[in-house]
Amino acid sequence: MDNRLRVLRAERGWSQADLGERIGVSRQAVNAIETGKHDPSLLLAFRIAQVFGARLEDIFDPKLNASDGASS
Amino acid sequence: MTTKTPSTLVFTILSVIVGAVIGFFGFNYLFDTWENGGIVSSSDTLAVVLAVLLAGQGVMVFGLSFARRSLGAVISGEEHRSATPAQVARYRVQGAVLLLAALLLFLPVDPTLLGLIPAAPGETVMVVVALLIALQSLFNLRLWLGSDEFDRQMIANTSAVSFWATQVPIFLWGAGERIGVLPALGTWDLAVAIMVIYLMASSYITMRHGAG
Repeated sequence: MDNRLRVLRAERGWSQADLGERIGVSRQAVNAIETGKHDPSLLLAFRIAQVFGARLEDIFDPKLNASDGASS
Repeated sequence: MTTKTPSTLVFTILSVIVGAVIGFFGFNYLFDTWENGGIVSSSDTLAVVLAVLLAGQGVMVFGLSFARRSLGAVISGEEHRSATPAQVARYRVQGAVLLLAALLLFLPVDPTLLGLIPAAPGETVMVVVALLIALQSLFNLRLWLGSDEFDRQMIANTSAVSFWATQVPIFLWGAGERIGVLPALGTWDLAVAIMVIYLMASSYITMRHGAG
């Protein structure tokens, strides 16, 4: 799942550790989300959206229309 | 991605030194036993090697937990950020888990711990092993409860990979043993093999998720 986490974080001048503290996960977790190695849970995704004051779909792109998408 | 700060560099150098010292004593034990005509099975050798690796890691992680600034730098990749009390506690427990794992692997091979403690009856050693593994399980539970979803995902992935990587070879070996084409394995052999597979799976999952 693509996301704009790195961009949004950079806009605010936050490090991965800063963001991790704000959303209650480790720096490694933030790094894994940014690099697409970990898809956050729904709860964490909402927490991220809340921290950036944005909607989920403004941050995450699940690529529902891609060939590997879940929709039929 | 881990940023190299002066603290992480010092940590890396100290890791190498501690690893060398512990490795020296561990491998000395193996060579001494071989030279004195003692029988060291491949499982015992593997257990000692693993114990040495885990003890080295354990000493470093446990020791690092007493240097908040360095620990913070290692965790965050930022030199100025000290570790929080929760991070210190977590690393201390993590270090204890590693040291206990080393002890659990070494104690059945050499219950005198290189002659540091007097020889005791097998039953006493067994009780000690059982108590140590109970303590380690408690620490592991504490780590799980204090983990974020990413850590838990990695633990779950490691467990899944370990299960499949263990079940298939054990089934094949068991079948070969039953058919009579492979020698019988002991439970200790299996315990050590499972530990090796678990640690390999854990390293692979950790690297794959970029959390090393």
